[in-house]
Amino acid sequence: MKKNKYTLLFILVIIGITGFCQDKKNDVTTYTKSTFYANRIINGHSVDLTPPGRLDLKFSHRMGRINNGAYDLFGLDQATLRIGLEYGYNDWFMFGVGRNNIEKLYDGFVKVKFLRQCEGKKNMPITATWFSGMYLNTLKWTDTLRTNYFSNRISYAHQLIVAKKINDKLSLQLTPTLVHHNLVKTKKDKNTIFALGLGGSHKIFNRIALTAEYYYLLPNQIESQINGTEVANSFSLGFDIYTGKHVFQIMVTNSTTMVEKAFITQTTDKWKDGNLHIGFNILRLFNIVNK
Amino acid sequence: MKILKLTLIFAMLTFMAIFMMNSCKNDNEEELYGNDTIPCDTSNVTYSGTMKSFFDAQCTSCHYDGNQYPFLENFATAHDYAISNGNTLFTKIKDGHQGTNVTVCEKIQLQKWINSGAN
Repeated sequence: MKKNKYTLLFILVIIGITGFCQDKKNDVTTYTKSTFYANRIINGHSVDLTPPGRLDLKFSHRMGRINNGAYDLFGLDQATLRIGLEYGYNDWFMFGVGRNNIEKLYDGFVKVKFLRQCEGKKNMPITATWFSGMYLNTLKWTDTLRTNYFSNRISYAHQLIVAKKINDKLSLQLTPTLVHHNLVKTKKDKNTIFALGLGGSHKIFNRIALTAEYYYLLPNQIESQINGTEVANSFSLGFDIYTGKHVFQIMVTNSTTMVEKAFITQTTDKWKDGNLHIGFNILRLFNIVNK
Repeated sequence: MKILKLTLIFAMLTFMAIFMMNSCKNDNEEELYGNDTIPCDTSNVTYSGTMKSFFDAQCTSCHYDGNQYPFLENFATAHDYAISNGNTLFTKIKDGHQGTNVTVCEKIQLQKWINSGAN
């Protein structure tokens, strides 16, 4: 009941502040556009949405470990993959689906932009977006002797994404995150996990930006090890290269997965051990509806 | 237009909140499936030594001779059914048929008994 009250309160607050920075006749209000080049910073979502009426076809790869050396061509012999289709419905709403080869995972998400950074007659210092995602593991059950429930396959992630375009070159983002796994290994593991994401982008040349992203897991939430290794915070560095209809994102990261439930709570490689991965995202926008 | 937008946001967030609350589970494998590290004796699984007491506890209140087929309260009929329909027998019990509640160890023993000739 208490949980219901808080949810209702949260919904009312969001609706209450949605009215900021709305256009009215004769208002001279300038809205900030393109806080980031893409709707991902590196692994995680950025505050931006796919433009209205556009379909975004997204290919993402993360290679094996760089420190495997020349034998594995520095990780290029192994790759994890996500293919996604994402659609911008209008200026403030988008949705998308994807398929990952790790866990044969299907993901779906919605993003709602409810605050837009603007100045002029109206002023709003930040852009804010709500993200909700759902993840379905479709691997065959490893233990067929026990009763396996469909709900065991499902995880969720919710993010309040707040970003500010400081100037034409620099954008910063803060992303409080909640990830929920319906099934965890032990009693000591929390089903609902909180993390805080930090991200940024700095334009170094025209159409090229340096990006960084870090997700901090609050302590004492995940006690189990994954394949004998403790879970680590995800940290990534990369470049965005914008060509008009494509965005190429090239990165070095310690995460091999590309969805929130996985790279935030299931990353095990560590920068200090040199267990890093080269990766890239390719975004291609198609005009579906002229808006 | 603004009212439509607000209504849509409200409807969507409400839907998401309801969906999240109703489909969220807080399970962990330890409590859901018990501790699999408890020793499970599968060295000599027989009808008389292992499965008879198991069937009596879980099945024979219905599955006795003259009532609901298969008849599991005696060796001959239980053996015949396990040989001819072992997969069905195992799946039914594993999936909690009519409220059967069996441990991981009992499932392993049942499977071992069926696969090794149901003797």
